[in-house]
Amino acid sequence: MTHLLPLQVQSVSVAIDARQVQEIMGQRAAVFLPGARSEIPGVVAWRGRAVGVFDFAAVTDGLTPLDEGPPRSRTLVVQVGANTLAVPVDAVREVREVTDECIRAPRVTAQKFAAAEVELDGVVMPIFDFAAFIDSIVVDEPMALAPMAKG
Amino acid sequence: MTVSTSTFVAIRARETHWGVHAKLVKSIVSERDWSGARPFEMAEALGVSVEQDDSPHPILVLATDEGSLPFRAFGRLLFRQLDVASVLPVPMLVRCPGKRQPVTGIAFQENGPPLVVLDWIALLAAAREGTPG
Repeated sequence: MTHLLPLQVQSVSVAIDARQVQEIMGQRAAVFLPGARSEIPGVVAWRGRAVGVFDFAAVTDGLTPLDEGPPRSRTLVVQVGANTLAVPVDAVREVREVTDECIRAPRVTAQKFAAAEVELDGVVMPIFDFAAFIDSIVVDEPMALAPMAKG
Repeated sequence: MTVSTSTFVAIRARETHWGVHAKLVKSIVSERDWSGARPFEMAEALGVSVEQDDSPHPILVLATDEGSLPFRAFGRLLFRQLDVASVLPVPMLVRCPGKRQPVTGIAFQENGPPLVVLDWIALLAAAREGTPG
């Protein structure tokens, strides 16, 4: 069984691994930093540290970037290995438990960093893989996770 | 318990303060009274977009190894005094390969806007190169 958390970001539905979610907060104002990558354009405060803010718009066609659009009403905090990301979204549904048979290779959806999709309540949505995203950053920049500030 | 504080000269822009350590600032001169070399635009050095307004912005004269370098602020100035421990490092994931990020840390305060602490070495490098950070 897999536990998935369905999300809504603007017009896009996406599911993530619910086990990675540390907290679901309300709206949080991000501080956008110069020189940041478009996928993680800024930081928010979380439990006494600065945590990178992940913007789904940078990896999904047709979405308005965080710094140009209206604020998103929920902020998830996800933990992927040693890395923590805050993820602003517009809506969070309840966690769904699905069998492995329900998860299939993408046929209907085309989402970067999603190697699978699932149908929930009649909506086919990609299952976003944060680990694959972070791996792509590490491949881009081998020193990215060197012993400096993680998170 | 000992608390170590630092004072920053901060530029107020929207909901964020952008600060440099006060000890690096040799002087602050109004734009009207400034008669030195053409100041470098700090907003350009940072690569941030700012709302255009007609109000004059002060000149910060930053100390360098060779003397000083003027920067034009992009908002009103204020002083912020913070516990050094409240300045948090920027996560490495936020940094983009190949781009200079002129930020060393950030302080979130309950009673005020966040303060982004600027990397003055990166700022000076951007000024010397004449290119945004």
